Amino acid sequence: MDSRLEQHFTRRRFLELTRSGIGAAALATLFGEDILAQGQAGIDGPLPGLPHFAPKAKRVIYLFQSGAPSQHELWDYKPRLEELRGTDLPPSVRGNQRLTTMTAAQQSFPIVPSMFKFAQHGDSRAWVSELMPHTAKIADDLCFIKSMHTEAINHDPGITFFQTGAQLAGRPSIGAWLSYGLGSMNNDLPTFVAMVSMGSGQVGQPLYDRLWGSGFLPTKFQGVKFLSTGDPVLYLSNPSGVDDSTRRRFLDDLEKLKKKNTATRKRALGSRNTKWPIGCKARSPSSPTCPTNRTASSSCMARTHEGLAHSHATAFWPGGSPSATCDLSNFSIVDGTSTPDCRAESNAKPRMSTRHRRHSCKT
Amino acid sequence: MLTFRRSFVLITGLGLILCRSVLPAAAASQEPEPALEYNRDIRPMLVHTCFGCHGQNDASRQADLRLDTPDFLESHVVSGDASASLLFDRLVTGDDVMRMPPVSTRQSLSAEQIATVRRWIEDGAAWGDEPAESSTDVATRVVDFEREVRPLLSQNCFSCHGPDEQARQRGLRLDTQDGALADRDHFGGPVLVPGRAEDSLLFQRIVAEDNRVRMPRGDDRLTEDEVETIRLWIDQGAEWVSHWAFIPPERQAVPVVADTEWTRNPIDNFVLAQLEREGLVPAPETDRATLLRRVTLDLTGLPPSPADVASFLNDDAPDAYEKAVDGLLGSQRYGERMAVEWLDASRYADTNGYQTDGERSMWRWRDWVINAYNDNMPFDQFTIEQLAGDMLPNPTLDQRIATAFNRNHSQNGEGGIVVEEFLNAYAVDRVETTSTVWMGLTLGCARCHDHKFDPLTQKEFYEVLANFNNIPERGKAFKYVNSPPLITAPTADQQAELDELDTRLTEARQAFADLSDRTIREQVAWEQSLGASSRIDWALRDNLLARFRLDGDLAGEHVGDAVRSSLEDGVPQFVDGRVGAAASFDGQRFINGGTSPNLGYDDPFTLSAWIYPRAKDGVIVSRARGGDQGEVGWGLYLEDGKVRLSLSTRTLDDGVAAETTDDIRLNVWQHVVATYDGSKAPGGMRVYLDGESQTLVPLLDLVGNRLPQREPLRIGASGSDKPRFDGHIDDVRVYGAVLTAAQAAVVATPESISEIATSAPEQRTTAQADKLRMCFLDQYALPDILEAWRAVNTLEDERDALWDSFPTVMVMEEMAERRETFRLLRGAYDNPGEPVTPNVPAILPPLPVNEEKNRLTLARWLVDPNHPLTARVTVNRFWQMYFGTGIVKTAENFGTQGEYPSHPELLDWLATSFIDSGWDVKSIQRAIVTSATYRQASQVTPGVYEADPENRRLARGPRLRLPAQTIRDQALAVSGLLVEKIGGPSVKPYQPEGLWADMVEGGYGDYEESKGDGLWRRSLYTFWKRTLGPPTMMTFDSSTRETCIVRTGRTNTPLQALNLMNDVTYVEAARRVAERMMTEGGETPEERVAYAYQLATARRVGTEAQAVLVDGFHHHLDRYQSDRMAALSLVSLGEYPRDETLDVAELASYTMVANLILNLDGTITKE
Repeated sequence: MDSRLEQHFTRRRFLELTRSGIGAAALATLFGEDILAQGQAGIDGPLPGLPHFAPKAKRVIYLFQSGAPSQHELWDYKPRLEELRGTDLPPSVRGNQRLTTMTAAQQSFPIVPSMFKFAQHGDSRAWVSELMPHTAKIADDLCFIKSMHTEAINHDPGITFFQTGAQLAGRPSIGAWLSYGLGSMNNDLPTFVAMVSMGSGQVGQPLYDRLWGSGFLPTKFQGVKFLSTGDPVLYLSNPSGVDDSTRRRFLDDLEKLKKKNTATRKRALGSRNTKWPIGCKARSPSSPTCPTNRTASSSCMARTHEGLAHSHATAFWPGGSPSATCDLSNFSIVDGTSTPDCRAESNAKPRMSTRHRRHSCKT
Repeated sequence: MLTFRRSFVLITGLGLILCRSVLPAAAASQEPEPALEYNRDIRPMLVHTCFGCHGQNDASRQADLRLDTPDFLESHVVSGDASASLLFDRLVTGDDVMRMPPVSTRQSLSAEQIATVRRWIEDGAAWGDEPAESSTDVATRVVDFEREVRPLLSQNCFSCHGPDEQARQRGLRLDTQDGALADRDHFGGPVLVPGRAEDSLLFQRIVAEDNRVRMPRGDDRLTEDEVETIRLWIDQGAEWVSHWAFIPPERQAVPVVADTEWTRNPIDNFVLAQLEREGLVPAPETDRATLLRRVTLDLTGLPPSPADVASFLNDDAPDAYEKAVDGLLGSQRYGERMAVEWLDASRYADTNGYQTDGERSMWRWRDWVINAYNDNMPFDQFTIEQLAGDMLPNPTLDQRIATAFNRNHSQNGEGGIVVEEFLNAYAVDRVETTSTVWMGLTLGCARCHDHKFDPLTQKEFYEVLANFNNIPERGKAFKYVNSPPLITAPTADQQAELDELDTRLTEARQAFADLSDRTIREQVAWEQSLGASSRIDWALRDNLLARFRLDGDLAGEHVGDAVRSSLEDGVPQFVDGRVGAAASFDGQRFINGGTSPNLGYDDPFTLSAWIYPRAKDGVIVSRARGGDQGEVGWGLYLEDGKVRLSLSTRTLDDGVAAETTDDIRLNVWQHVVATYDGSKAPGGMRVYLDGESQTLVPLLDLVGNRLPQREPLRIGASGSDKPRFDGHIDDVRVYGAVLTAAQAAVVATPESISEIATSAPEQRTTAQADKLRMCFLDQYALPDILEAWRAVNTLEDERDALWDSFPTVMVMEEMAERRETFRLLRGAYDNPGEPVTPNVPAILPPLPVNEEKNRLTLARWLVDPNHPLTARVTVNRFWQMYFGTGIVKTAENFGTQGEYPSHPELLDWLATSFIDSGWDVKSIQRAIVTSATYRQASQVTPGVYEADPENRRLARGPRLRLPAQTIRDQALAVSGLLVEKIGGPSVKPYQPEGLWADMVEGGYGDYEESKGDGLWRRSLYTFWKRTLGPPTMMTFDSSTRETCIVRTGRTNTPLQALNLMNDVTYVEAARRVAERMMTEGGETPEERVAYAYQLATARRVGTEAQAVLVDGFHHHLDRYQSDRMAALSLVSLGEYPRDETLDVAELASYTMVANLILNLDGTITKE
């Protein structure tokens, strides 16, 4: 087994993967699966147990040549078209297909065969037209599937159908399905990437993000489009004049500033019995004492709750019990704002009162 | 364990019972009632009102008091003495705060019940037998039909047993009360037996074990909890209410709360009442700086300046905040901020969408929206004008511009589309948008079939659509620029300019008219001076672009210059023409007239010539070639005897063409004039034969692409293989304007000036008289008359040019003859069912009977005070703006699948207040932001956050990442780059190169950044391309504007971080902030860092953070001092010139610090 996988495979990982711990593991053995063989793929797969088999394909490269000549000029030799040249498209072929406005006004719909010559190539005797001389040489390495058909009559619905299986937009693209079903061997790079380019003719059919979209699958399965000019992912590169070390320092500083945030809050949490006002279930709030040592500008409203005589009272106001911290002071996101830090350490006991009064100390 | 007291009670109780049983006879006359026992007599009363907080549920227990176990007897009851019993005291105390149940639960015991409790205590407070296991206690929960049961039914049952008639199984519907109370007879009896779940068919089916019988079908069994909910519901009486959103809101009484000092306005009462019910308390008010920043960002989309913050902090007045709010509401920035949400809802964009996604111009409507908010236009007027402003009596320009709201949808100009399909698509979009924005209804779900969940039928969908299906629009839109119907919409400034020009024009006309007597006299004199021998002629030369006299010479004139022409495929031949000589054609040869000025689909022009046709087919004049689908270019043709004017890229489906209905006469000289007004429609074409207007039939009305211009002008032929002219042609002219009928008649007048002048005036035709007059005024009048005449003409041309330069905007108009609307079977455009007429869904109040059913009536109906939805939906979205989540979370769906409001009374109070205030938008904003609820601190601990991540309980202030537009606007404002100019066309700020080229159809070109101010306008004005929205906006979750969006998500992705770090927008802003740091922020790095921090967050930087930033600065400084080239390139980014007096290394270092500050959480978040 891949040693990389082994490293990652702590018991916790196992449980995470299987989600329901023992049960799923038992189930897996029932199916004869080797959970471990899933490796990382199971992590990104949406359901534990996908894929059902070890994927063989490591990569899928799908070249979508939008706007190529039709298959009748390239791969799909139709000798009978020559016989039918100039005759009208038979109803048996046209069927109920509606016509686009581009052709609807035509008086007739004459058949025209390709003007390019076809020949057979390789041992497989595959038909390839004269337009593809180089590809013809590797005909034996290619698989030509000639059973495809479509109902779309225009570019956009046709392309959408190619990529998503439906003419109407909204379904996941083929890449999204593969990403969903086969997963990925790593977590660091996108699983599904789309790269678009403009041909030398400088005329392309527009290709839309939905052609590599995730449809109703979670958006993490959508294709990440790498742009063909500039940064493949927008804004990936540092601006000129900012090198890696400068950016590294920037990120480190940002991290430090963020840690400050969390630390400030954690201090509030670290104290025992500290309860944020919202969490408390007071039915009859008692009066707080308003601290007299407030400075600077801030609004402080200490709220407490009391239980009945025999219940534990958790109070927090400045000067409250040693286990209390005045959470209200921690308004600082990045520590130290205009609100002073009330973290007095006195031992005053909470007081019970039957009268409710709220003080607001706005200074 | 029996305590003394308890045993005493027990013995006493027993004693009493014994007494009673021993002395039955004695009690005959006044049969004393048996002593009350707690479990039998008191407990059932208290179960519903008390056990929620004092029952077995540990999590919800208050004050550690249980009333379901006997312990309380010791602490709260003095046997025999009710007034000494704390329990009783709590029931009767006059203290609102102490009394049980709490006021805010709105529950209470009746007087009788309290008397019973008293009696029980005085009877000795007997505990009694232990109650049976389950029964009373377990039913602590009263099931709420609206919140719990209907959503269950909707989710699990309605698709087969709901409003959709076609999908309905076995004729059972559970979405109406009638359906649910039906007796199903042979199916098994009544669906619901109120009070008895076990006997109810519905319940039996959901618990049935047999797969064939159990509901819902398939694998979707109801969970145990869900089954329990249904059971409780039925047992508790199977209460039924109509879906809450279809019942008009009631004016709510403001609830009484315990903490009256906290509340500032009724909003707070509603919020606090709910909190008190749950035993929660609101958070304290946040600090003033944070509050000011929060409200400034919310109301204007821009941060407060340090001066704003300082003045607010120093203002001690009790209403300082309210004054600040009023100031913000009065600012022009408010309208810009509000407009952003509305633009998202109305799917505003600067391009058409679909494949080509060509440009359109709708910014005049955006102006209208901004102004409407700033003028605080009442919402009902706002609604009516946007939906039907054109139908108001004598609509003003602004009212018509307003209707652009419903033309904001995508329009398809692709070649080959089926026109009917897209006419339908546009109307459908209008229905979906209107229903989402005003009614919060997913009417779009009823496009192909009846709605599966809400009582909306497919027929009703099309009845609503009929209101929006009557405008004279093209299914195939123009690819570029606006498609009809549209109007010219000058801005106020432009209108002023026009008015001034009109004044001058009137004066000029007057001046000329004053000279009319003299003019006539002098003309007569001139006429007489023309002897018969002089052969003077004259040709109309205004706007003449090219002229080929063909008087024995091939040469042409091209705006005055001679044009070299040549004859091809033959030898030149001239004959006598109607006027002088003429060129002769034999169906082979033609004249190549060189390159004449380009004429395209948007250009008005006129073609005129004398023709003597010998055949029914022939090209008169053209600039065209043959394409694989017919002519490519423009031309005037004889086609089978008809005169045809055509401009086409593809004759089948891309161009505009019309031809005469009557045949032309052969072998006769006649004059032909063809005009085209640049409107891309055959209706803009005219043909005159010998000065008489001809009836035309339109041939092609599908302009899409541009008109290619590569061919030379040809007389007598086209570049294609169309038959060449056989006959004679003379005096070919191309004018760059549309000739009027009078002018066309003049051009068609062959008689020379001399000839006309010497004829008797009364024998002259109108055209001849006109020709004479025009000639005179053009060339022969005395200077002052000439000047006066030219002044009029010049001013008229100026006015036309000015008018043409004005922006247009697409609007709604009604067709005189209503387009028929049909219910489309399965929603297919080509499968019409029965016709329908405009109407509204039956579940909502009906339209007024005495009004015509149309778009205007619908608009008024939406804002009728009885409409249950509009006000609620609107105030909900306002709420969402401030708190991140609406009172109804699903702002786009108030139907049965949507979410129940978290605070239904508050919602109704807001909605009715909104209506009562006259739909005053600013006053609602003011009420929300001045409430104590809004002002709460937003800090939260992980435990609290976990309990209420979306702040639905509103027990804290809103803390949200800023919307995309605000993040960019803030960076611009803070850096001083922001250019504040209200309204106007969209601009193009920075965007990575090549994005559009990657996407768009070839030939459309790439994104061209604005120069100067356009780079730094508010994001509201950023050019919006539907298929490729501005990346900065998209990365921060802006809607794509392809469809109506009223609720966006808030994501958190690395792309956002990359954007803020590396986008030149923010790097340049950081550099400008750095310049401010160095020039305004003090001397030391500490001061400067603090200054920048203050600019970005409105707060003082903490010492530790400051240390980190300063440390970073020094680190960067070291580096940049040794690499000044790098420093220079960093500070040169962006178009705004850097301050060259500042040292580049320092500037670069401060730029990195500022870059960091602009990336902070605290900067991009509304705290």
